[in-house]
Amino acid sequence: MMSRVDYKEYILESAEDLYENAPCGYVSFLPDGTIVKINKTLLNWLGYSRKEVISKKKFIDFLAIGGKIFYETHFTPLLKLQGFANEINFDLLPKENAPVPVLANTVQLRNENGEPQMNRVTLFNITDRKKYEQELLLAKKKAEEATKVKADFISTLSHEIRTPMNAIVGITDILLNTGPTPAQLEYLNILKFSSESLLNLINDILDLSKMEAGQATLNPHIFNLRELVNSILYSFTVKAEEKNILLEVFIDEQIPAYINADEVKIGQVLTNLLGNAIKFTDQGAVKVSLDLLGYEKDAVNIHFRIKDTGIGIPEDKLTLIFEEFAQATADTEQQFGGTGLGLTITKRILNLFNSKIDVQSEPGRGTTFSFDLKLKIGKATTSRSGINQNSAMAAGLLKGIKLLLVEDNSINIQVTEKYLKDWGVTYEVARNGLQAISKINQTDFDLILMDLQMPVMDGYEATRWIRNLPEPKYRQLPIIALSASAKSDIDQKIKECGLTDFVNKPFKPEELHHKIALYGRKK
Amino acid sequence: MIDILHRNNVKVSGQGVIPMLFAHGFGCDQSMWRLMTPAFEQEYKIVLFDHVGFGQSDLKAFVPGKYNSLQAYADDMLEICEELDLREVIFVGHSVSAMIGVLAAIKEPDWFQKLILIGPSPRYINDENYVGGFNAEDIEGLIDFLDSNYLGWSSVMAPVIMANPERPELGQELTNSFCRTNPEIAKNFARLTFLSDNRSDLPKVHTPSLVLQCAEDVIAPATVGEYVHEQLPNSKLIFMKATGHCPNLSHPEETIAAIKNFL
Repeated sequence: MMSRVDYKEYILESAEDLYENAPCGYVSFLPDGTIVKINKTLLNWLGYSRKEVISKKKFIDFLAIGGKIFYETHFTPLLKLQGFANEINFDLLPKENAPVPVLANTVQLRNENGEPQMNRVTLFNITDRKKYEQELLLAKKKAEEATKVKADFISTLSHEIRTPMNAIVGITDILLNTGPTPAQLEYLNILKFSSESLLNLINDILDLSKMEAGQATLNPHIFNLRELVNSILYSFTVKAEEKNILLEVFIDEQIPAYINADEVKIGQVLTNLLGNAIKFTDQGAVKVSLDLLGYEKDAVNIHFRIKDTGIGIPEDKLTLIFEEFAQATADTEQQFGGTGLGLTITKRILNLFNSKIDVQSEPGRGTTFSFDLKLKIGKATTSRSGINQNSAMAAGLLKGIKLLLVEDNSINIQVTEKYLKDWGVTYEVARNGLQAISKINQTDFDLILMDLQMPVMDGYEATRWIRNLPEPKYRQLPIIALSASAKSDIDQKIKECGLTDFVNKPFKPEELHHKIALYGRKK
Repeated sequence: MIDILHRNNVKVSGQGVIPMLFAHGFGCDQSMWRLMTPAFEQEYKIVLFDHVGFGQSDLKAFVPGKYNSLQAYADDMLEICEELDLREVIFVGHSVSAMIGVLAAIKEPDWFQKLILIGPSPRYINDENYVGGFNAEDIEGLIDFLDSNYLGWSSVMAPVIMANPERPELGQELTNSFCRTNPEIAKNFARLTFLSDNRSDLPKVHTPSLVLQCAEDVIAPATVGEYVHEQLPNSKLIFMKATGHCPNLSHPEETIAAIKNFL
């Protein structure tokens, strides 16, 4: 049996022992910083003897310079104002070894007048934790970089593929106009279909990789919603007629015509859903409807619905169809084609609008996709509503326009020349920016078509040169960029160097025709 | 129209007419004046505020690119003076805000009658024939330090609610946060502060000024206080017994006495 006296001593000793050998550091210092008490654990971390520290060192003496500044500017005021300061990360400087990162919890002890008497600090050694923290940060940084590298790679690759695709699509169109034999016509149609599918796939992948990298943003501008819906519908009429299915549209009359939103992305969603509906429907009808849900200050809520009477989707596949490269059944692709990216992209685009897609389906009876969009109402602007395609391509409209084509790729030159000749445009060709500059010194052109990536001198550089020529007319000369890069990627650069407008490669003949007419004919 | 009083969390009190404008330094907010202001409330109009990014200022007002010089903070302060129609201002600035006050007084000399500069430094980094107390790497050390405390800041500098049974009169104020800072803004402010060089501005000030220099101040050593006094044409220098960089908090009585004596 232990006597009572022994027992007490034992407690006292153990309290002392607990203080000295605790797994954390203890230090007490006066308001002026002078250390008056310190435990063994902390002395061991610091490599000092008690004699060297007590009354001789201040707490701030153990801090590196950054910590000193923080101590004076943040820690001391906080302690004084609040009476405590927790979880402050300091690096303590030991006599010899590397700095010891610690978390400091400090309490300020005050007398009855509220005057600070002592600061008591508990220090946790966070050397290991700090290591993990740094590894985590490093891993996070690496993961973010990897995602970016992947997105960049896909983006670059897609651009590289798009350029030769320009040639394939263009040449196929030309060949189709050369009076092919029936067999050749069939092959050419397959070639046209395949190359267009491939181009769609590349565009889809590019879109998706952008959205994954978080680079996709909404670019709102004012447009006519009715025109957009009708023109998309119109583009599907041929297919619908081929399959002998009815194409219907209903737009609530109270929905305002002009909307301020991202027209391209809304168009993409509608095109994807409508394309699917027609693809998977063999008889009956596809109906697009826009119902007004209500007004909200300067915005309007619209319910979009695309309803078909097609093959439908089994219930257990309803979530699967939104996954990348997934289709309802394994043989869907063989039967119907497609990449399996359309709905993934649609879903992600709607995410950008803070909206969700809903799907209802019954196998054999049809499918309905729907979603709600809250869209800002736009004021009607002077109609920039485009191209009446039939009249725009009218022969002779471009006759006499003097054009300079700046392009290094021979196939691209051939394709573009074909159209220019058809349209009666007078043109010359320069193979790079430098040649272009010497050409415009000899001839007065109405318009320049400028490829951007070229050897010797690229399109940006050449445009900057031309804009800086002394004669004022060169400031006005329309220069249209031709590029396989997505416009949004190079928008900034285009503006900076003074390019007038932009046409994507592979170009749609109507678009190029329209742009040449728009800029070249103003005399 | 920007609501300037909201932007800078401006608080006006006191029974007097002559305004005293108190500007907090790097690392804190207007609460650092709470031990000082009661001594002046009877005779003066007390104007307190938080620099944008600190305390309860409007963080949305921190427009990137705007706050890239100390002058921007001086201009904010002048806007407060204009909004409240303050003239004959007695300016009290701590640490970097001492220099911000100097910049304001150069731009609008007629608005200020006296400048009280606590722990001022026109340049923190040593230069040829000038001892500021730091070298350039030290400042990088501070930025690293702020980075390493990034996670801690959200909890340490975030609002703290606590009761204070020993000093119930402080209870109310303690329910607010102290020295709340946005880490990114604080880093920007740290760079501006410690990389600034306002030595050439000092001779342009003609407002009567008081320089309060603490003992053992790591941030602004005594030689810096002497330099400021030499360069400021119409200034008085007092060496205080108070140690550290925040005498307004650690030694309020001595600080108050020095200011009252000067006024």
